[in-house]
Amino acid sequence: MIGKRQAPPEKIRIEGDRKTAIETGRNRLMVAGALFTAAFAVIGIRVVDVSVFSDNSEPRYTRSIAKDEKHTGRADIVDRNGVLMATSLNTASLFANPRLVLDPEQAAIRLATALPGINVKAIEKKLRSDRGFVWLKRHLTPRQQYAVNRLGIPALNFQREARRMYPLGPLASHALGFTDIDNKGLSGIERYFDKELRTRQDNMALSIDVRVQHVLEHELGTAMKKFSAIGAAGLVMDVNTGEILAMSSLPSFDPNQPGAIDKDLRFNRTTLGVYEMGSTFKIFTTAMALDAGTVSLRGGYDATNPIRIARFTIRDFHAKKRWLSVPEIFMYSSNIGTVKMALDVGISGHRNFLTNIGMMKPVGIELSETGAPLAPNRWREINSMTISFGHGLAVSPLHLVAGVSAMVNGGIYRTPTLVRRDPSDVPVGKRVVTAETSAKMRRLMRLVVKNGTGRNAAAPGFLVGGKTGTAEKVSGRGYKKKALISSFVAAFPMHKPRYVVLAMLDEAKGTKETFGYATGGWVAAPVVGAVVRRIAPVLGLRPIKETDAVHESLAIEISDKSAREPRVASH
Amino acid sequence: MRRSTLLWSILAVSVVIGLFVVKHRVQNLEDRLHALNAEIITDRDAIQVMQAEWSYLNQPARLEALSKRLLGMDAPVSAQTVSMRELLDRSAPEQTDTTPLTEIAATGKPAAKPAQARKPAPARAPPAAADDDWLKPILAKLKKSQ
Repeated sequence: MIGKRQAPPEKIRIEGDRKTAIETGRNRLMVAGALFTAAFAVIGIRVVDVSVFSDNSEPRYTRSIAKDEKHTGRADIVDRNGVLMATSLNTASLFANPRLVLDPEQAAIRLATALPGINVKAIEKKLRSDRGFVWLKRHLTPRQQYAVNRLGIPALNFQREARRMYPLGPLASHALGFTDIDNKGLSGIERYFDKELRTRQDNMALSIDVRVQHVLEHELGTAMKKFSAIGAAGLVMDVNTGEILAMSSLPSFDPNQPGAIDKDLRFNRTTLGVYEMGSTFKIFTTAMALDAGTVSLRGGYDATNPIRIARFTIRDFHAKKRWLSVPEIFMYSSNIGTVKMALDVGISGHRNFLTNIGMMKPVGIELSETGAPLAPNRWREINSMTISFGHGLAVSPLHLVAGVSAMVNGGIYRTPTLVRRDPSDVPVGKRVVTAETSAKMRRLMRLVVKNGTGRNAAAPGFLVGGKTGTAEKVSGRGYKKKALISSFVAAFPMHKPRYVVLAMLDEAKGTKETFGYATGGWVAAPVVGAVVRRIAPVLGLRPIKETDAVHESLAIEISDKSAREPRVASH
Repeated sequence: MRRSTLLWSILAVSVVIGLFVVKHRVQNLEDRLHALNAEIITDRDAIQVMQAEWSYLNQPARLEALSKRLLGMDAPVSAQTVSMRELLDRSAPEQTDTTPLTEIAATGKPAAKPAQARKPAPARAPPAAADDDWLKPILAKLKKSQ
């Protein structure tokens, strides 16, 4: 049924002109197709390249925050135990667009409820102005910001700004310093480490211990009020590492209010102020003489008559008018004996010794406020004589503390620092006196507190040893009789000193309790005693039972050539 | 020919849909990341503020005033500081003649040798363990919450 399938249609043959036209068409089509294939291939390769191989080149919409990334610009400052001393907080500053304010008067009154203390009239005036932007109040606290937000006034808005905050207030303000409104360090550590604090990622740890700092400031402040002094300075230094645990200059300021800081308040008495220190310098003179070997502890000098040189007369404050042994000279703070001690060592020896313990150049501490000592241009005999008991060479209290540390720690001078040092990373330091001399100085300083002018500094159990100093202040070319720099520098515990404490009062006046005296032993020594009693337990020192054996180990035999009175052989 | 065209067009459509879904998902994730970042920054600010507040509230002057006023505390004197050894030495003789304070003392031998009485360290061990008992539930709770 099925017939033959239809034969395939005959191939159409086209010949001639028509054929060439079709051939051309086909060729063109081939070329175009190849071009398209190539283009698509390129696009395809590029797609693979972009999507698979080079996703980094694509700008990302957002990225995750690294774990240790900091969000504020300036690094925090903490104390040696990690207590926050300075930090940067993002605060909100309030601004307004006055054109959008509906009722300026009402808005100002309502703002005043959220921000007590603002000037309502001034705010109202600002809100009435025909501008697009006015600052209303900068650096609001989070609570204030919340309160303003709650008011719901539409034209108000906030701008985020970083602000330097000092949560401890005026504590250690001279060491810390402060910044201006653009967070630029203007004084103290903030200024010295300005660049570093800007770039640093972690916290910066100072050597300051805020507990010690508080005790020092508190006790100094109490004494300053009690003796109506115009200022006070205090330092606590670790004798073995050179770290400053507390640095206090009173009156102090609140770094949180940089606008209100007076220039006088900014003055750092401990580093920038240079003073003639008075008798505390006898520590250096005695150590020098003992170290040079010009006199021994058994030796002594005749202190019967005052020394007259040029137009000066050098006399003793607690005059004994007899031959005095070296421990007695130190204990009674005899100027005459000390002068003779210095002269025996010689002028150049004296000068070299003081240069060695850093008394001739500013202390290399991490502060820009360091005072250069006032030393005589030409060092004559008279200079050596007066400098031996602390007049004629003005140094900062920090100089004194650094020097005394070297005298008691075994004879090693270390530059004081405000940055915490790792106990394993303490600089070697420079030997300035022998270990034996240092041991003798410890006994001598202990003697002053036990039996001499420094009895008010005693702290039971902590074996304080020190030296009083009282100097008249220079005014013009002479000295002011009634204006004194009263100081006391001490170390404890004396059998193995750990810390040096200095208290200094500027122009203290005597009271009834001190029998009118405003000398170092009466006004500054009690401060040191109180400070030691309070900070020693905090610093982990255990009080020592003051048994006879302990006293014996720190005692000195006092030789007595005059033998006018029966005397105890040991103190 | 037809079939392959169909296959390709289905493939193309599914790729387009897949791309759209993935892109949408990425966008969502990025939005979430953005929000989380903002949250982290706010939280960090808050932490910073709280740290400052902590430091502010712990000002030594404030603590001193508060502990003086509310707790009647004062600066310690050296007599108040006693070493562990001194404390043990001091408490040892009392233990022998008063009612026994510890299990071992109760069951223990009479204090024949004074040298034994001066070594209360082993006698102190059991009460120390008992001291921990009340802490255990709290510690367990803490662990659980972590």
